[in-house]
Amino acid sequence: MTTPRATAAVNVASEDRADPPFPSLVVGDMLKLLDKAVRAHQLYMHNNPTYLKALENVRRGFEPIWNQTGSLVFQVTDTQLKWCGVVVFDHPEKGGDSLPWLLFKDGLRELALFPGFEDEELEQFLAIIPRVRHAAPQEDDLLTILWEQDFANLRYRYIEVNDPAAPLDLNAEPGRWAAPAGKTLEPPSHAIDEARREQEQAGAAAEERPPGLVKMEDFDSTLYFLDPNEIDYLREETAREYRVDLRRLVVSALLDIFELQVDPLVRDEVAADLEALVLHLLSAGQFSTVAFLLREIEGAMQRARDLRPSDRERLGRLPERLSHPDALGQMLQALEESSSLPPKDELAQLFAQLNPSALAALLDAIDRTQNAELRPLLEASAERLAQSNTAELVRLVKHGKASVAREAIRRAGAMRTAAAVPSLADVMQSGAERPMRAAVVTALTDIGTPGALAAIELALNDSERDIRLSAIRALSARAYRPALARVEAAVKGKQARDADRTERIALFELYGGICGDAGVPILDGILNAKGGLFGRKEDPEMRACAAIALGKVNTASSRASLERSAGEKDIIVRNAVSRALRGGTPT
Amino acid sequence: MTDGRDPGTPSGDGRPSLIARNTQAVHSGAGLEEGTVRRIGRTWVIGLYVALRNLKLYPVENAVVQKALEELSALSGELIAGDGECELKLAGEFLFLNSTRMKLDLDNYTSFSYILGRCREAGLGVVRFQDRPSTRDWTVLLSFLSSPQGPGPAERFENLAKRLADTSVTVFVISPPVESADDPEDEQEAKERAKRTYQQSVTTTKEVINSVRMGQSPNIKKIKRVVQGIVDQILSDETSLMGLTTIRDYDDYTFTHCVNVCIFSVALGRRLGLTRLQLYDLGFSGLFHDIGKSRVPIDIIQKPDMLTEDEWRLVAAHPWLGVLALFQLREHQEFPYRSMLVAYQHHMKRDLTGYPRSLRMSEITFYSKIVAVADGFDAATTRRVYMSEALDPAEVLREMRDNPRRGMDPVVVKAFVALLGVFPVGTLVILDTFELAIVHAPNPLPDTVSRPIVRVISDAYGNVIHPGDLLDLAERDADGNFRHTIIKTADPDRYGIRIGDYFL
Repeated sequence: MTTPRATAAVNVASEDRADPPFPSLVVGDMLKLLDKAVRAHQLYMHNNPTYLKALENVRRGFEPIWNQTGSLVFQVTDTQLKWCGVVVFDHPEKGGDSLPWLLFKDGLRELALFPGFEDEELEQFLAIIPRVRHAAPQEDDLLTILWEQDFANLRYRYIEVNDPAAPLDLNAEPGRWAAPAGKTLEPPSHAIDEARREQEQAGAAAEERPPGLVKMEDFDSTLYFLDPNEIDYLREETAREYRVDLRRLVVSALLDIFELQVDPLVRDEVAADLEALVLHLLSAGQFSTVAFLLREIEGAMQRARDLRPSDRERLGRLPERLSHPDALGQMLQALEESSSLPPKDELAQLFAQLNPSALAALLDAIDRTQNAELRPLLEASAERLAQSNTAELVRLVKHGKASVAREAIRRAGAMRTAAAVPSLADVMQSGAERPMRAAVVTALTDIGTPGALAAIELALNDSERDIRLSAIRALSARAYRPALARVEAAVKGKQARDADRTERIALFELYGGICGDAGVPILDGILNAKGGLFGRKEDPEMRACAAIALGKVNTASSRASLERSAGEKDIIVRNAVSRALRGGTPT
Repeated sequence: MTDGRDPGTPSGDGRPSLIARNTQAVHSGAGLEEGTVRRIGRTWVIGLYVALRNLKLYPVENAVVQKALEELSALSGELIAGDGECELKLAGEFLFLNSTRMKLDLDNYTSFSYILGRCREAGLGVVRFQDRPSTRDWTVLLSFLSSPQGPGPAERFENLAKRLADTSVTVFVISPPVESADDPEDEQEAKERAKRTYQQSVTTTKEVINSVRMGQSPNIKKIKRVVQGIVDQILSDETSLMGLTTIRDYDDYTFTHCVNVCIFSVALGRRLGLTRLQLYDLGFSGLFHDIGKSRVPIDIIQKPDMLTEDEWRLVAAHPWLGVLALFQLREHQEFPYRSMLVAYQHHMKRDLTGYPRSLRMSEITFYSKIVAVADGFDAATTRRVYMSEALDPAEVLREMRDNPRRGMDPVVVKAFVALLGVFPVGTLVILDTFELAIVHAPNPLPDTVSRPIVRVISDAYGNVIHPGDLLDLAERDADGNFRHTIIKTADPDRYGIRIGDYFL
């Protein structure tokens, strides 16, 4: 319970104390236990045996006290707690862990405890101490926190530090105003005379009642008592007060002010307030309100009269600021780490207001998120932004942050963004990391335009087998003839011979798919050559691959070439040839 | 009775408690827990009300009456079983059951008023019983309560005791009110507390508004303390603080008006059953509803003449200027959104017309509606530098109630009238004895809304008396007629009556 009092009263009260009714040592011991419990509260979890023991000790400490008194009233100084004028707790240092100082510094001068405090309110009290100890200057002080806790068995009195209240002017004659200069007051008897006259007149002419004259019949008491419907209404109104989105209404008010007030200074101030508000709304997780704000800004700027370019620019910067990768990144990180997401529709509303500069942060978040609920929202938002802002997406393909670039590449592919091909090709040739190059090949494959395929061709010589294989398969699927020269060189050269079986088959399939009859002599040479200087043929796997390629060519000359090896003794070659002749595929 | 259960009673160590308590009890001794008493008590109070009402409406044999009495009897049995006795006590505007203060709420608002009224009228302060009363016992007691006999509370109490004895109802031990408003020490202490709170509030409000005017950051902690003090004061002794709203110091009008609106709002909120923390929110908003005026040139605010159109436009900007000003006030890291809305909306009507013009505002908050009513009343009843005279409070209430163009919420207005009475605290009235009197407090009796408790401040010849005696206009003579009746209201400024002095 809060009771302020004047400083003088404190001094008088503290000097005028009765002798302690029982030894003060008992009280001092209890306070020491309380002080220990304060420390235990800070040091240990609340199910920790040490903390529980400390609580128990304090409770025990109160027992002998309550056996002898119904209340404990302490005077609080900066270094001591006194009980009945006796110092029962002393902490010479001000600040730090000093309990007296903690109580004293915010103005508390008397603390009274009553039975029951140790049962129900002790832990509440212990929780307050660290809050107060670590409170920043702008945060609630001890008095405010105590008031909010509404203790029933703890009361206190305080002084308003350095603030004696100014007295009211009580100089005038009690009950009467002094007449203002130039004005004469009527004596009160005039009021009575007037009332007498009016009463008489009212009796004579009941209908014409002078002003102020009361007719008691006017007052039907029932008019002034709330009926059940009205009570329900008021209850609902109270509930509404605490249900309503206050922030949204404040945003509405600020935007109205901005729109309707043409004074540039006012608009500057509103814009500054809105900027500050956005940060608070975001940190409070008020995403739908932020979305509302961003949505309404556009309308406000369209309708506002006499809007200066600087006003437009400043307010217009708000959505931009929110979409800035740094700002958005923080929010997305917070969402990722939060145990429960805000309502999806709120997030969707907010994401819907983001502008292209948000794309990088969104892509980064998509790449990293482990949150299955968040991912679809991020993807939907990224897709919206990417679709409406291809240029930004293309820019992000070459973003310095791998996670952003990788996701942009993936999205460019998924959206078949042909405009991204040059950038993708650049990434391919820039010596990017393997996963990035792989992603580029996939994206280019998805895009599938001639330009994309041309870019894929670059990957045929990639150092990584998987990437080469992806490129080969992509070109093979599209039968991309422009790559013939490069593929032929690979087939004829060292690349085919050094490749593993899968890559080699893929390479020959590609070659067979694009070379036509012109490639048959090369393939026939590999399949059917009788040997060189030392009479050696190509190894069976190469020959089998050539057979597969010839099967792909599927012309008279290619079949003729295959048939020449139909009687081949090597089983690998023989199987490949017979499958190629049947039009089958290798296993 | 355990220590400290009543406001103002001595503390456990025998010294007079200087510390007012807002929540009077937590335990019921070794018996029922406070929560249990509250829970049972809530039903018990409503049960008592229903029984009283039904007895008035139906014959005693009626099943409805009997059922109500049986339920009351059963609930009393629960309390006796837990605490060994059942005690209903009136203290000020509170009801205590087994030393636990019953919480006023919208659910039991009518019951409270009715029971307080009936008991007051019968001069009854305490009813205690240790054995479970029979339905007959209840019938007798409640019937007598509904038909008090005697001119004044003391006589009626004596008659009640006698009638109970005559009918052999001995289960109830009754006493007159233990805390009398006539107790000069209690009254003086309550006044002193209220005065301190009021002074502190005006001083701090002045500091804060001036800080804002100078573009400085005001001391939020002090503001909080002010509002907390007002809430505590309203919860413990509403009348004293309400009375101080009649101090019409028009040099400090802006500041006293803010404090008055805060007081009226909190008092109304309390009647509407708001919690302590909700009252704080409401009070904070009420205190700063006009903070936008700190941005209007002071010479316009204090201009004694009619305002020009441009000047009026500046004054009418104060609601939205208030929103901007409140951005300077942050609680912790948070903005005072609720207060911003109250500042912005307190001149808006229910249909969102009024001022400032709004394009996006979709609703008016409940606290804005409450503050609008409190603001409208205090502004209209206070004489300011540019007003030759203030309006009569009763007329203001009537206008607020009857004129839909004011755009105030009619239910809130109705609750406000119920709070203040037909003649609000501070109204100068002339009695049918031709004595001047000042309304001191509304009468809690539900059917005496036009019969407040007044302080007689002159004789029938107009000779002013200070401080004057209190008079309950609901008192009747031996024939059952009211002893005094208001015949007229009067303008205190016209006769130089300084109303505020009678509340200091």
